[in-house]
Amino acid sequence: MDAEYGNQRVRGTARRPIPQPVEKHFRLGRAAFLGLTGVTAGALLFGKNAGASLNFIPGPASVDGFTIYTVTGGYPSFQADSYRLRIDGMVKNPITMTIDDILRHPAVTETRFYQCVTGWKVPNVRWTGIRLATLLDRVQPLPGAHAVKFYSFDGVYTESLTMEQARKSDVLLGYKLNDKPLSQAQGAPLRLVVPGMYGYKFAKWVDRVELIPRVVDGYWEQNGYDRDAYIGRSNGLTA
Amino acid sequence: MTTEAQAVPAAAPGRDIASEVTADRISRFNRTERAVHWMQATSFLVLLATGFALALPALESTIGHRALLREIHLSSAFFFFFGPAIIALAGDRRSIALDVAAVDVWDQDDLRWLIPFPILRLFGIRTPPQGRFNAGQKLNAIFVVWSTLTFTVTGLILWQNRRFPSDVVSQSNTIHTVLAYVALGAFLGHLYLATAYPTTRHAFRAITQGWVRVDWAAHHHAKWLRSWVPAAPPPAYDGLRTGLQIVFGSAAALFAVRVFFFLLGANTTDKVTSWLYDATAWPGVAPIQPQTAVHIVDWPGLAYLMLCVMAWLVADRMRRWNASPPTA
Repeated sequence: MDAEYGNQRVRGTARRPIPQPVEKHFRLGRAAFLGLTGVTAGALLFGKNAGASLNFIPGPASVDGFTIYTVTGGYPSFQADSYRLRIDGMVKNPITMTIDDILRHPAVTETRFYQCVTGWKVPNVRWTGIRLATLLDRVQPLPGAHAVKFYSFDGVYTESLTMEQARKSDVLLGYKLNDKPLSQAQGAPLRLVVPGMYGYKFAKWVDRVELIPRVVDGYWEQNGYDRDAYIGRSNGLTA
Repeated sequence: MTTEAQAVPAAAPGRDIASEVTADRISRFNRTERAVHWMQATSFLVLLATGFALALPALESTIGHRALLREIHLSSAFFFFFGPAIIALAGDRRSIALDVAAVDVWDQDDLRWLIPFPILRLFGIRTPPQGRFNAGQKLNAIFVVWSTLTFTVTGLILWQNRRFPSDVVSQSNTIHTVLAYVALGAFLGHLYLATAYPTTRHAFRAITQGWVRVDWAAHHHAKWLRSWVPAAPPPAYDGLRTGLQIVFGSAAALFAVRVFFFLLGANTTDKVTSWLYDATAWPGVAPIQPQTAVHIVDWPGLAYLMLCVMAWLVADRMRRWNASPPTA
């Protein structure tokens, strides 16, 4: 017994023997680890279609392919008759609109993919709404107004665009998603739609648009996201 | 005295055999092994809880507060990835190396163990004797190491998503999510076997108090018991060395992430990133401008990284001073 303990001494502090099976043995542990890692690396780099086959998993992709996010607890609700959209700030002619006022304007439709920064994507999303540029023309911005800020009535979420971005003809305040009225979770009654940008720019539950001198950080920009949210802009890669 | 104790060589001055082998218990996991386990377990549970709160719509709509959950999730990831590695290297790393070797090497008994036992019985074979870890534990260990690496790499890509091609971000999202479910299943199985299943739950003692009963070891890990030897007492000053190495190792890991984030161009408005930059704002390190800096080699950060590694190596010499025989 002495020898069995004694000859297993190893340099260092511990005195446990290196496992040496008397039988035929295999270095299976490292093989399994390397194999798994190789398959994972392949899936990470080239598994473009693997994700679609895993859609059955309950998880993020849930409501028509959208993952619903909220930065407060729960989704804020509104009363159709008391809801007002305010457009103010550095404007000559601030206005307040009811839902009927908004619906009276010509409806514009934009169909585009929706891409979230966290990696999921919904193809062919059809947004219907009022063109933001139309509203900006109505309020007549003052010369110093170079940015537009959007407030959500969840009380927390804000977003902003430069005047140049906001005036693009495909930027909408949307009230329909795939020809159905926006659900509460999707931002009813009004949601900012900025095709070409990541989803966090699509502020939900908008009830105020403010014209301001320069762009400021919105909710997610203060928490680490890029201010310029065009997909593929900052990494030099295209979506 | 017991027979086990008598079997141990007597000429080992300073060795307290009685505390390691009594009539019915032997040591199984030392403090380093237990600390590595609990560091990983704690951070895993925090990551699991915050991860599901971030990802599952039902939870998300009632809990909300994405920004805070995200910060907790991202900072726990540091402890999940670096914590076990730092403790393993700073503590009794020889014992960790032996555990890794035990997981790596498989013999025919291990392979036979994986055959469902009714089939074994059918051929009249008894459950084969197992070494320090049985084949299931080996598979679990391989899974844990692989999933830690996979979670960290895909999570990093999701965090810094603007610096990676969008296809890779999508695939990271899928892998991260699927793996979370697999890891949840593995965790629940592990928890059941460790705390509830009658014949195996005694093993929980090993990871909380470090010892198991000899009769339990004889039944579940017969080959390990045959080759078991008691650990020597830690050399003097080893606690001091370990403490210093945990401090220097953590600082080195922080600086490594900092240097990597500079190269990547991590957004400095991100709270976790700015915490990291604040924590590593040591004398001579340039303050961070609140804007995205892409592809900058952070030389002061790299210098501090080297300094921390050197301090770690100096602390490592304490082990050898202590181990060297006294000069006459």
